Amino acid sequence: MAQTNYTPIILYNSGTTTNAPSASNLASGELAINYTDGKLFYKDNSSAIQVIGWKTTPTTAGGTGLTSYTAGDLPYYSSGSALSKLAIGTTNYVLTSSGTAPQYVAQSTLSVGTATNATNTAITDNTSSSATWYPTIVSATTGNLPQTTSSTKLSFVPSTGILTATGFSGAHNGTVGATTPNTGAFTTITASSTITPSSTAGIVGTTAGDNAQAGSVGEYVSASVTSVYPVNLPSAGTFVQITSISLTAGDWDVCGAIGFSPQSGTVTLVNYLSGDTSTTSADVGNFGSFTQAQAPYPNTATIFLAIPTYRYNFTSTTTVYLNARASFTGTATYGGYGVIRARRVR
Amino acid sequence: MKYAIVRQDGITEIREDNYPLQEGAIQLTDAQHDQLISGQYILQNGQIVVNPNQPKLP
Repeated sequence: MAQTNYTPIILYNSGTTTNAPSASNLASGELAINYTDGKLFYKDNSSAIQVIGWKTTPTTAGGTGLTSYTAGDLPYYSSGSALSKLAIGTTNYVLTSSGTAPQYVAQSTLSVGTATNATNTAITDNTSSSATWYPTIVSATTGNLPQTTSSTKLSFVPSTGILTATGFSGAHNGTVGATTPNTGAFTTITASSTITPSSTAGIVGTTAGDNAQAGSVGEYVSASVTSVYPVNLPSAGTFVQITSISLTAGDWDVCGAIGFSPQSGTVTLVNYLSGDTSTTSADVGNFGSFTQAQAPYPNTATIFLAIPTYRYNFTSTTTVYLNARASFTGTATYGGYGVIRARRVR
Repeated sequence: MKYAIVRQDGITEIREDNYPLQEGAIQLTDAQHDQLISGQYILQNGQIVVNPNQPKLP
């Protein structure tokens, strides 16, 4: 409707969607409009009907074909007469290509390739950042740039140059495995060849009064029977087991001591007293593990014999016994007691 | 660890190793271990008590 005192200019028009004028409908210089589709038409100098205005300009006319946007939307062309919209990605996601369209992906999914620049700038040259970075390995052959998420496996502090990892293997240049000695700390060390400490510094022993764990060099095992509970030794000089220890596979030095003490009655003559360590109970041990004292002794005295150190090298758990015997005459009983000790040396 | 255990023949053994503690074993402190080794104390009903029959010195 026209304003008062104004004459409206009404174009040749239609309200039917997709309706367009034909060449015979328009004269040169005349306009037509489809007010439902929002299109403005004219006839060019070749008598062809052309559209010169759109409510929503399509991609075929250099427009977007879009009528609305959400903050962060990224328009891109896929197909048809309108652009597609890629919504903004998750925080810290990066824009990549799927091959047919743009997409936002997590950094951890990226394959860095040779990452030459990333190594030089982010790790080697950065001497000011004291934040801890946590590079994450995606697979055996791919990884991504350092991230700020935590990791219990690998971290790096650029300002100190300290790289922390749960383990190392293979050849390294630097602190670990280099020809120039340096300080390192490890939870466990496995070597396929010799370990050569300083010939003067050697391997430092404990000063804490503690014990080597089972299986480690220095492990200690002992068993004692005291004079309170002596083992009865027959007069005929038959070997009797005093006590024993169980040793797991390894190279052990074993020694002991035995006390021989008359218990009651009268010992007329002590012929000899013997003791040994052996893998057989109540048996004479190998040469070197055996000791014997010939009589006579004062028949009321307690006699102590040291059992020499003897090497036992086992490939499976084995019991080592402390054995003793006494040969004497008289009405007494003879008691034997003692201690057997083992130290794992290898 | 140090511990005492009574054998089937009734004899008390005083032992030291890092194996799992055997059933029936009584774990000892260093002081208790030394007391039992000396023979001046004995294990009686699971308790460490003074040996009424003090051992003679050699």
